[in-house]
Amino acid sequence: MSDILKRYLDTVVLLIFALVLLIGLPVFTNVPEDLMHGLDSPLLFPRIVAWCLIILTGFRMIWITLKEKKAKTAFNFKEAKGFFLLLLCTIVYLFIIPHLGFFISSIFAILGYMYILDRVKWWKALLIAIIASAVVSFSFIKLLNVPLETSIFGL
Amino acid sequence: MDNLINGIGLLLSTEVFLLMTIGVLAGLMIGALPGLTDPMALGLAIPFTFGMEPIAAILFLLGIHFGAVYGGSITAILINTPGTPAGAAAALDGYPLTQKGQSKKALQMSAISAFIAALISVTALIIFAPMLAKVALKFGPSEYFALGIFGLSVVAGVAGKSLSKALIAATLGVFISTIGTDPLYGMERFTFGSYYLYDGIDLVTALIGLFAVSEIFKKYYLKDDKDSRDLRAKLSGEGLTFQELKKSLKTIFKGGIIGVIIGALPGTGAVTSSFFSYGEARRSSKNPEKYGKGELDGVAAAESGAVGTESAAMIPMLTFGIPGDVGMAILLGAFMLHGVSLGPDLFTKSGDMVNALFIGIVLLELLVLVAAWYGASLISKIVQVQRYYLYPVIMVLIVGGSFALMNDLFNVWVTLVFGLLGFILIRLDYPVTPLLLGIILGPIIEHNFLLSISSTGGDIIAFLIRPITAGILLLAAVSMFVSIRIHKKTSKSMNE
Repeated sequence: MSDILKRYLDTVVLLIFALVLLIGLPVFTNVPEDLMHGLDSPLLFPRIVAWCLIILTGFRMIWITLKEKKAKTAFNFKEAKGFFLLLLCTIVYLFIIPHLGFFISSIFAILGYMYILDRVKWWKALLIAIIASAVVSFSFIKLLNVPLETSIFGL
Repeated sequence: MDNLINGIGLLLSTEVFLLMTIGVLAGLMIGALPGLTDPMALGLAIPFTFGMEPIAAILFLLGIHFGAVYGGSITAILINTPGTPAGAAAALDGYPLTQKGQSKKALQMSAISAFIAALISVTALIIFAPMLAKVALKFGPSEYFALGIFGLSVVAGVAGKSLSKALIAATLGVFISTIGTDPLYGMERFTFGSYYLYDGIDLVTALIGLFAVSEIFKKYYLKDDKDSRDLRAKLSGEGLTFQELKKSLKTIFKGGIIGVIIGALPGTGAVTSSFFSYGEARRSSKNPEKYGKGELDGVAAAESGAVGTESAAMIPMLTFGIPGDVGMAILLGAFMLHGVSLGPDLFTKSGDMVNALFIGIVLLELLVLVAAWYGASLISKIVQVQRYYLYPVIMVLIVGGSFALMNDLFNVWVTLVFGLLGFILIRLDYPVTPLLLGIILGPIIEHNFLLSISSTGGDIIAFLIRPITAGILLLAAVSMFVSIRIHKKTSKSMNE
């Protein structure tokens, strides 16, 4: 990615967000025509937010141009393997909870998370995954009376 | 008097005492564990308080908060790795003392300084909070609107490297707070037809995502934590003598008072106060050259400065419902979750709860002292827990906790989204705290603005020039200026 793009990327994204927000307000809300304007309009605050963002991003662009000559690498995709695997693991975890239940899904999730961080022997990982999932499930269901998702096996 | 007796009655329960003890111990461990933060612990603990009585829940969470603030200093002194940012100042002289074989002395000085400063802070809370609450009784919507703006002046104190980035984060927070129905007409905004979003984004869900999930993402991204096997430390040397304590009493009291003043100012928390107090102690010392080389007075100054902020930071939150720092913002969420409305009503309608809270805080500080005095050695062993056992279990706790908030997976997805948002903001050097403040203060500002506008028939100037409103807005500007000044001064002394 070019240096200029890196320097301005977050600011440009925010500016686009603010403009989309400002222009798309009638679409993103179900406010009737007669309440679209005025000091008591439900759109007043979102509109103020959008304008504040436009002003602040404008200010940031000037600041970056004048003061921040070098781009900081905020995200290195090559080194972010652990993060992406964690994210993927969590998304899969959330998808399987309704099917396998909280307890069983959590065992798989902990095993996955430990695998990403490596260095744990498989039997140790399995033992910790079962114990931790059992303790967390028990705490929520029995101690806090929170009914967590269960699987067809009743777990 | 009845309120006091009823307040004591609320605390006279084994369950409450047990929860307070568990909270303090958990807080000390979390604070001592490098990588686990106070906000993260508070966010994770909130779902566990569902079944508790409000006072038990609040004291449990305060126990975690107080324990974590102190816990950060234990590892700072023993292994030069502050568990929390506030513990960094304690390491300046604490770690050299450990290197000299006097870690026991340093830890005991740190524990006793923290306790004395905590008592000064809670005294300030007990005196000033009811007085301010009486003033707040006279407030109407326009004053609360101004207070909301005042609360946002916190942004200057937590801005980090860039004020403009902090302001952008706060603005995004205000935007998030507009999701749901508007307060005046009940019109849907940004719900996209989803009934889950009808009531807006749940505050606790947002904060679990912003402060717990994003931290885990960070850990997996960086993978640069010190291996905890390198973090072994032993308590060594003689204990603290009365003469040594007596010599440092003046510094401790000064640090406590600095903590109270800085703690009560929005946006300037324990980190600022600990370095400010340390700098002041070094400046006024007859032997400033000894600081940084193992001066016991330096440990006392840093610790009293940090802990002195704890209860004082609750003054604006309890009296006006405006959080002064991130810890208070999370506690505000807990108060709301348990149906406790903050502000002057708390003092007029729930006097027993206020008294129970005040007495409970004193007990919590006593528990922190006892646990720190006798348990530092054990805590230093617990920090050796390997991260690859810890983070996976925390992730499962986050998922369970977020699910428990609404008994629905939708909430867990929202937590994940906020975790991602927090992580991206952190990577781009945007502070996350202003975002949370925006989410909390957005509705206060909007609701009271609309009420004020309605009462003045649409005349903005009429309500902005009301004496108290104008005064608070002026105070917000001054507070912002002072916060920036203190922040700059602290950064300078930290670099030195």
